[in-house]
Amino acid sequence: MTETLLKYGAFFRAAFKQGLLNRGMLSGLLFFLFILLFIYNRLWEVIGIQDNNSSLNTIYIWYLLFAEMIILSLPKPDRVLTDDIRSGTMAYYINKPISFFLMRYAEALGSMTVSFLVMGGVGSLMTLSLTGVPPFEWRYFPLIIIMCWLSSAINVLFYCGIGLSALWLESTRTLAVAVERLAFIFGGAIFPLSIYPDWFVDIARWTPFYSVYYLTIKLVYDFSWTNLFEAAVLNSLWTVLIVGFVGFAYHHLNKKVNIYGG
Amino acid sequence: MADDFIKTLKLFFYIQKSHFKTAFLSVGDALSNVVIMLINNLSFIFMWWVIFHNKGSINGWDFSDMLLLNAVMNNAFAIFALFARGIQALPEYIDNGSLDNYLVSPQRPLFMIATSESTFANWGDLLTGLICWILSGYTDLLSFALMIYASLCATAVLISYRLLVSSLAFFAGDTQKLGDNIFMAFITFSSQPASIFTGWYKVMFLSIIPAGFISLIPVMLIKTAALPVFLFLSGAAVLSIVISAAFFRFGLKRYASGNRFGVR
Amino acid sequence: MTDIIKVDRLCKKFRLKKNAAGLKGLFHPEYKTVTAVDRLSFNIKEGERVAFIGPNGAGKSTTIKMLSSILHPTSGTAEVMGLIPWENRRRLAYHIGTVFGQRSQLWYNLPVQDSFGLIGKIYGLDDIEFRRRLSKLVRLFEIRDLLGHPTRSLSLGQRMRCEIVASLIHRPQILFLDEPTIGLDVTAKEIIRNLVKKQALEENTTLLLTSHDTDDMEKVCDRVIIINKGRLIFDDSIHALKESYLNKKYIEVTDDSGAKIKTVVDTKTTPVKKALDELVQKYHITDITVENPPMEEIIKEIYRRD
Repeated sequence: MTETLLKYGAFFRAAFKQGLLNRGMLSGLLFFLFILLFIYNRLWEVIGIQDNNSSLNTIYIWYLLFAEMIILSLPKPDRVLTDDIRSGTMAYYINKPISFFLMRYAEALGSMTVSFLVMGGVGSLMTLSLTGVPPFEWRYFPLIIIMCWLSSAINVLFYCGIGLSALWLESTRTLAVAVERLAFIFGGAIFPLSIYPDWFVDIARWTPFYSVYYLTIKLVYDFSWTNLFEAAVLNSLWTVLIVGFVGFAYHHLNKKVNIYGG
Repeated sequence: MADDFIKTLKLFFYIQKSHFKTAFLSVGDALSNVVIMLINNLSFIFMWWVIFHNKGSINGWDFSDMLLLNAVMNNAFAIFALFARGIQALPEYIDNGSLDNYLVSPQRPLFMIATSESTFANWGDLLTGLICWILSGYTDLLSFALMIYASLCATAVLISYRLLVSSLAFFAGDTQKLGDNIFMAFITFSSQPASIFTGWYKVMFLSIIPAGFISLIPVMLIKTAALPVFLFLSGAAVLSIVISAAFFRFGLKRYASGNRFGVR
Repeated sequence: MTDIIKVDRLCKKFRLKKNAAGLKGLFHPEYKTVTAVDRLSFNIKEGERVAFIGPNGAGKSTTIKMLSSILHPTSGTAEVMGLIPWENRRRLAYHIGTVFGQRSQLWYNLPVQDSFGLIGKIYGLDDIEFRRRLSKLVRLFEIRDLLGHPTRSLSLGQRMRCEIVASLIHRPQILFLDEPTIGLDVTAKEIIRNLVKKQALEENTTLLLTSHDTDDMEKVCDRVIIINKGRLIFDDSIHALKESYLNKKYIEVTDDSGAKIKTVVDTKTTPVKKALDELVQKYHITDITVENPPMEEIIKEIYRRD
């Protein structure tokens, strides 16, 4: 068990380091994050004045920051895995003592974590200067960060699964973009789902994005142990489903490689 | 002169035909990308509908303003992405030297650069523009004419801004990412309800990041049909073309001096 | 025969930032001037095939870029077909063809013939003229089987043949080739050389090619211009180049134990006969070869003397 962790930990660390060195990518990410925070802060400020509710932008911009930490930190593991399958690279790993899929997953987690942390750090300063202190109590902060990071890890796993679907699908990129859009809208990527109409939330509830994004990120301004519990249970449920799919696909893939040699 | 123009127009259509051919090498991909682009845009518009549905209006803007904005902005971006996308790749062309291929061509370099790339998926933006215009309710003939005119002016500002930002590459090192980021900020600014930018923000919105000419002013023109707004927008379009073309020319001169690279 | 290219004391200096990195470089840039091309003068007659040879950074590409209108010179002047290139860019374009080794003018995903069609339109050829021209070039460069394939599926050698055809569609009188054989394998190089030469002879195209590979110049060209540090150091026929540097002989002998002994003899100081006599006395020779120095060595020798 520890040996396995060390093994994949090495891939995680390598990707983490590489991500840290990619200054251009990180500064681009922070620039975009700033633009988003700035614009939507302005929007909620204006609406807040209209509604006589000065806490609107504090709540919604901290929410937006954590949402973007999950969304923007996603590398493109679907593309990597699809390329591996199409080019036959994965066949080279079949006789090595590592799981090819877990290796790629660990790498993607590494790059995700760099962006997640950098955006979290710098983004918090930006948000602090734009709107003031966060709406959560500091003692819950570690829990919120961990929950959001786990959501991000599920998100990465999800896109890895999309990458594996290259076994059956012609264009996995199209699927990935479509899913990105669904997540954007059903997960409440820019505005929390609480302002959406009920009928819409009822549909969203049936998608993984409802809990993995919205319920988890909502802890930022609406922390309670019940909410945390609800998000954790639903997220675990979706994780089991995704892992089931990935396991099935991976098994199928190995069989295919054994028969055709990649 | 006229003869020259017709020849260039013919070449333009021939190049577009080649882009179509490239896109349709995989028909499924081409069409599904258009549909996804449409869904992408509509999901944004739905999001705005939710906000306006909740709040009624934002600083005097209501949902129909937002629909008009999306009509103009999507038209402008589509025209850029379909017919002048190559401008975005200019820093790359300068960096890897493929600009030379356009410089030894008997056509104008800017024409060759602009038409060198096209992303088929952005036909979805044009569809979005159409849908937004129909939903906006401003469907009388005058509004239609103004919408088309405003879209063309917005296109001129948008393409000029991209050219300006891309031309930075004539003067500094690797500016592809920087240019892409500035342009993306510009697009993001222009896709918000323009009424939220007041005071100094509004000044910035009509100068350094001239997103107001894609959102605020076009919407004003369609709604009011006022002559001063018409003149203001037209003036901005002409001015931005003049400035960016001059900057590009200046950059090209510097390129021809070779100091950008030195010995190769 | 008239001079189709005239170059008169052409100079190109670059101003390069010395301290490019850091804040200091931004506010107090220090420049150093590099002379890439230094008072270069030569004329080229119609139909000549000229090789432009020199080490890395000698100014070959810079010169070609000035002659093909891409770069402005610092001083001096040049005329190509009676036009000053950098002042008549678009007019000159109809008369010259250019191939830059690693930069493609073909559309990556489209079949090659579609790219040719597009280039025909760019140069304003009418359809009949275009088809006649293309079919001739297709025959000459033996690319009939490649026409339907997208550029990305071609090998480097095949692609280069198509690139050259693409630059010849508008019947240029002058063809500039910048490193046309770079990265190709021996066979592909040989094919390109033969085809380029065949085309130039058949259509009386004036050729100016730069290359690292001296075989390119030996097999394609009849004249060679060698530059070093931007200055012209040799300009004559290939034949003359060989003649004037043939005073060295490479001798290799094998003795009865199978060992190989190599020597270089300078015929100015030591007659070949004397050298051979010495070798015969020293060793029990079972085999002997006497060779002229390879072109590579000749060129290196010229740089050394410079």
